[in-house]
Amino acid sequence: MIQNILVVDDSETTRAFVRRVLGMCGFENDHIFEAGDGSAALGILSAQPIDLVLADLHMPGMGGLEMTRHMLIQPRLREIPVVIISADPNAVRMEDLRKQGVKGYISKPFTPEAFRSTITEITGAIHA
Amino acid sequence: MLELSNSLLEASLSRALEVMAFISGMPAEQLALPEGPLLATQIQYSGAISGGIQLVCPLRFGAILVSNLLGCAEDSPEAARRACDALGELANITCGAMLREIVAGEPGLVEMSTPTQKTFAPQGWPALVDSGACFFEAEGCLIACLCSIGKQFA
Repeated sequence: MIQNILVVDDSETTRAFVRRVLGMCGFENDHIFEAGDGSAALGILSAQPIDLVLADLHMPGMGGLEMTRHMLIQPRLREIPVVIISADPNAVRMEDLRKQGVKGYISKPFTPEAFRSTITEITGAIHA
Repeated sequence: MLELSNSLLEASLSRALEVMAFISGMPAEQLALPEGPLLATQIQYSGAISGGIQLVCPLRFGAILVSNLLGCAEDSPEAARRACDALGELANITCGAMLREIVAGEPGLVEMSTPTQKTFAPQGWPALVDSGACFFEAEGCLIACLCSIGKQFA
């Protein structure tokens, strides 16, 4: 069951927006964590049980793909699904991301309904 | 080429605003200098194609955007604090959507820079109007969108 979710994006507004959309999907606000880049995310992952990571691809410092690679080599983190949320324009990159362990991709801009659909598809469950 | 690119940029901006912030707009007819501080947000891109986009709008529009995205009051401290960040993210999403249309099916990758922002001086407004930029009106705010192909903004 998905309970704790980590949102990783260098845009504070985007993190807050994703938090809001997750709330619309029924996830509790206290169970949503935030990080501004991949390094900060790995710090949270080392200290806090997380069930799902939603990450931007391109961020100053460590990006979403490099963060995913770090997660995949750690036994405790490798099973946590990572969904990339990005404005990246390269469609070919999505397939490449999947090959490198990313479980899903949400293109910006996204509607709350499309977001919910993708999260449900990946996690198999949504709260509300 | 410029006209086509600017039109695509405007369409991408319109879609980004509607999909994520439920903000509708239309091509602007009155191009008078907006009131209040103006912010210019730029993104450069390179790779299969190179160039850049620039969005110029009142900073107030950033607060409106935050208000719509997060459900807070437009005049709240939260909206004011996040206004620049929201406009940067809007430019990021708009540029990505525009490039997605341009490079669809084309070989090679396009990489976008992170947004850069600076205050736009009012005395630069007439030149912006004459530059071929598209002007879009949303929530009572005028937004100028300009795209360059093959040349990056200074």
